[in-house]
Amino acid sequence: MLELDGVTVATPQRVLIRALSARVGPGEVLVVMGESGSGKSSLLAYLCGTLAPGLAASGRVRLDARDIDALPTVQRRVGILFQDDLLFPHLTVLENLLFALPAGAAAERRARAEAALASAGLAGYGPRLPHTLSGGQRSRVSVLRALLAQPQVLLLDEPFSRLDMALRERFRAFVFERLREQRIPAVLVTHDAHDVPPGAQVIQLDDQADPVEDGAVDA
Amino acid sequence: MGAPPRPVTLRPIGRAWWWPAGLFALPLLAALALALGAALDAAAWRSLLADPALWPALSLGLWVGAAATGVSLALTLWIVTHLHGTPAWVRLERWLGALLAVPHAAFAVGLALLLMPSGLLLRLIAPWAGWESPPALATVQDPFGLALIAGLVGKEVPFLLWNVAAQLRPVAQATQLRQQLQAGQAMGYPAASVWWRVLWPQLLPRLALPLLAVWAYGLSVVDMALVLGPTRPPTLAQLAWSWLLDADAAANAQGAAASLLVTLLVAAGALVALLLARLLRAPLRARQVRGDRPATARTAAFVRPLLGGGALVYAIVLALLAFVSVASVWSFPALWPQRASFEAWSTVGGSLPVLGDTALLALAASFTGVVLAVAWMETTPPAWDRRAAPLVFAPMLIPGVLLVAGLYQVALHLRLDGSLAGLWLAHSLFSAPYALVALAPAYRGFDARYEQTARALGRSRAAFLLRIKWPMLLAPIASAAAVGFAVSVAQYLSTQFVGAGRHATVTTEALTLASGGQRTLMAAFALLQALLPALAFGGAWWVARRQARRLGTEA
Amino acid sequence: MTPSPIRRRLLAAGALAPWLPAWTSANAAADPAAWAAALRAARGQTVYFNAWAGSERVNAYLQWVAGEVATRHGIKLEHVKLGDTAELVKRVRAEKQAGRNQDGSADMGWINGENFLAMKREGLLFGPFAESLPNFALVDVAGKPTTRIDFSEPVEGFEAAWGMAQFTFYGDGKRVPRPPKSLAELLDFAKQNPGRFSYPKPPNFHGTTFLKQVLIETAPDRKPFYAPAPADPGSLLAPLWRTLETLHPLLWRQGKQFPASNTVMRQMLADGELFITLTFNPNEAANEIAAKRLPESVVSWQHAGGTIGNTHFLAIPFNARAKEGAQVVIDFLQSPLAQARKADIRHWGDPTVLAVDKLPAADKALFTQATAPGTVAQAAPVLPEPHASWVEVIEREWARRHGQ
Repeated sequence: MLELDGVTVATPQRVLIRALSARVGPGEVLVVMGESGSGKSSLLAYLCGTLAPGLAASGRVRLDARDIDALPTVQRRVGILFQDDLLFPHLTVLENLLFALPAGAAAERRARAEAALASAGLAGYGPRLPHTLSGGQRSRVSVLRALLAQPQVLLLDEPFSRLDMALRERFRAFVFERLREQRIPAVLVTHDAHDVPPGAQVIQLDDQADPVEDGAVDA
Repeated sequence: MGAPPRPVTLRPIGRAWWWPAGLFALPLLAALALALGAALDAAAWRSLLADPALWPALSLGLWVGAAATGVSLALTLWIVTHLHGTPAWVRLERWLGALLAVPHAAFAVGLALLLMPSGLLLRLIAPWAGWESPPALATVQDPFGLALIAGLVGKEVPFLLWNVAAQLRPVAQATQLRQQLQAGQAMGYPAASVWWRVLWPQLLPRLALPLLAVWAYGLSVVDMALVLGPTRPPTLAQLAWSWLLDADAAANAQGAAASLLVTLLVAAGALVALLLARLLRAPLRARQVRGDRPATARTAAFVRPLLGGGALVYAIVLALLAFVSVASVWSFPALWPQRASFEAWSTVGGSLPVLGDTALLALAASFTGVVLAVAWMETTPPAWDRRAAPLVFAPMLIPGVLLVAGLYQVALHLRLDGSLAGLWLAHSLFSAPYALVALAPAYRGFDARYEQTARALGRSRAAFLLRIKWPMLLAPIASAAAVGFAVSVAQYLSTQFVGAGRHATVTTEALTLASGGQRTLMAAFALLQALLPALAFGGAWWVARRQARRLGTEA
Repeated sequence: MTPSPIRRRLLAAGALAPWLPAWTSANAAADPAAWAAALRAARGQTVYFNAWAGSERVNAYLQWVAGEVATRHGIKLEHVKLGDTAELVKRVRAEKQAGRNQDGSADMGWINGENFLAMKREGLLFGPFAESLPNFALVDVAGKPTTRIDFSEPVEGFEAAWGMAQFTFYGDGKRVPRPPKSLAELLDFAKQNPGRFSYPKPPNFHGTTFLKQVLIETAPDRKPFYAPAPADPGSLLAPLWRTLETLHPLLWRQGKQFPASNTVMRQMLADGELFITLTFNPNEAANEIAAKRLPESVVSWQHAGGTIGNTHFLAIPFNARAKEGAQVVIDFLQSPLAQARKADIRHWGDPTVLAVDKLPAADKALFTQATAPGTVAQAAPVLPEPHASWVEVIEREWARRHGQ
């Protein structure tokens, strides 16, 4: 369960997000929509703990009854997915997944990673390097990786925008299904209304601030 | 959108490739051939291998080179890991150019002034230790070469840091780095852990060339070794140098053979390192994905004090040089000189015309070096790039003293010896590889889509280069020019031989005066030698700042 | 030039005539007409003088010379600064091997000893010319035999004497109240003050000369050292090694490290790390005191039995472009005016090669006899240098025993 209470994000010039409050239950998705420059990525950065130095933010963030807004990223147990799959290019697919898993017996970790691959239809792709996979495959692996780290919330920063229409559908379904299965709350940032799953809370940032095509804001 | 655009062919300009190749490669190949010819004398090798001075010098040289390279690399990795992304890193980047500008020999002299038995450090301790005369402690020229290693580390860490910064500066690299750090931290790994397990495995291969340069320098350094290193035994490079500079032809031949031996050791070391990397890859990989999330390292707290200490050493070295340049009599254990005089500076004043000549020559050489580097990267087919790399980097990796002997022969036969043209050519040959090392990361990291866009807009390649690519790469180009400039200023042997000693530069003045051993003069000239590269690096930094503002890539 | 020296020179030249090579008109002073022709040819020439540039005083002196030869003879003298004379030898040798028999890069060189031997043996020198120069008559060949024999090798006119050198010790009078005037006394001093003396590491020529000095002082018979060295010196060098065995543990850093050069040692003396150092220029300490780089209490001395001395010379490479100019400059450098200024401690302090007593009164007055603080109080006899071939032998053997 993710709780936001009075989250405010501002640049020196203007306020991007004003006193945002929300609750996201397990398996639920909070969709944050807005045009470029509206501060949606900055919100994710605040939740993740990686807010850019020029911005100021405040407000409580509670994750499974833990206050995380003052914790460093390392301790937050927050998963994040970007537009780019960000698989570590020098590691194989399997090694990428192993990296995310908690420590434990080597055989058991391997088995879990292989099982995750199989569940995504990527059985046998373990020894391959990321650049040999297609875009859709890489995206799937990156979701698997994020989830294998057992986050308590998953943040998605426009993860579908790089994919073509057909792939988007399948990938969206894949992601939301996983989130429901593992009962993980998620915050999805997007500017495309098609990305909104049924039943999700939607927050429009445009009416909070003046839309600005200012590239310097979205950190 | 309509039909997809026709693919734009980006084949390099075939014929244009020959002129940078020719200008650079032909004299270099000739010089290498001649140098090798001198070095492959069987009699010389026999006498070299039979010489009892060889093995101690060789093992000392290997130890010094390996220790200096290893320590420099470890410190660099540690510093970047714990400092990157903080404001301190930005401050450090700003000062790197200044640190690099201090010439190796000048730094060595200053460090010696600090550490030697009659140096500042021991004078500070003297009251407590009750010393009336400088103690018999081997603080410099110690038998294990520790002072020399310290001096080398002091110069190589800024060089490696500068290279790392150059690798991480292109926007694409910086973004990828930041995002991978975020991803890793989100998975529960502290930032330092992400560096060691994810980022360095990707970055280290790209540092291979600067590391090779550091290793080669550590093995073949002579001027720092003369000041800080032991004399019995000396390092192999020092031995080769003294043989090569002897008037006796047989000694020259032995020195050539010894220089070739140094080159072979450089190559062997590189191979050993590659082999080790390959062998260790699997075990290291397993460790990287083990999944354990370590606590934040305790050693992180030491980074800032260490950097502070390093900066302090540099500041003290420079201040000592300035201080000693006016201290004509400075007997132990006094902290202040018994007699001061500005005589050294009036000699320096007399050398000011030489300063202008040095600067002009260095400007010409660095410009040519950058042009060669750019031409190389623009026109070389990728297959040739790898094959010809050993030749391109030869001036950086082969002991200068051997290469200059070959270059001098080439100049003699072309009747270019003693001429400014010959000197310019020689300096350019030495500047070009360093310019290439400095420029390659940014050049290779340049987004290829800019060119595609320009072509699609109907622009010729020349227009693209002149109006888009090079202006965008102005900061790295200025950096490369600054490095080439510093390399040219520091040239001694090529100026004395290829230039037949007719064209004095700041460095030849400094080193010929150094042979007279007058410390005030050495210190004053060391500072003068640092002036020109400092200006060059300062200029490059200013260009970088302006570019960062214009392109919006300012941190 | 007055007539009677010319007549003397004509007679001398007549005696030398069979040996004068006829092939160069630049070979001056067989007669005044030839010298005048040389002076004319030299006018407008640029002479590249390749000389060690480690001392500002020498450099400044050469600047003065450049001014003088420019006004007197219209010659442009360029000081090509070398860190080591070997650079010149290598360059000329390389030019000869490349077939560059004219338009060489050097017109004049400052050399002696093994560098001279190498160049003479390999045919890298122009000459003979030295004994045909007008001012050669003023050189003190009788009182200073080393002006014609360089390290036991006859000069034969291939180089012109320029200055004198004698192996000298100096140190702070406060630390060395009784300067050791012999090797035995030096050893005693070292016993009482361990770690305060050393010598530069051979093959540095000061270090090698110290070894030669020890050898000459301890050898029962000096004659073998003035003949070419045999391939196997056998027991001839034994006295040297025995002495070193006693001496080394008493040296700076117990003889495990050696300073790189005498200039480094001079600095160590100034800093107080060493108490005694050595040099070839008997006036070096006086120079340094005058330049305020050494305290006034520093004194110089030589071993009472004599120390090795030699002459340093000026030579012309075989392929020099400006041979006439070089000879004119060399002749000027041998003139009383130039030699007096060179010997003046205020300018350089390098002893003259001329026979000062035999000069006309006006020229003699140029040579000030003032003793400045730091000059040698009691000059010792000059011992000639052993044959140059011994240098290599001694260096090789030393390297074998003590080099690592």
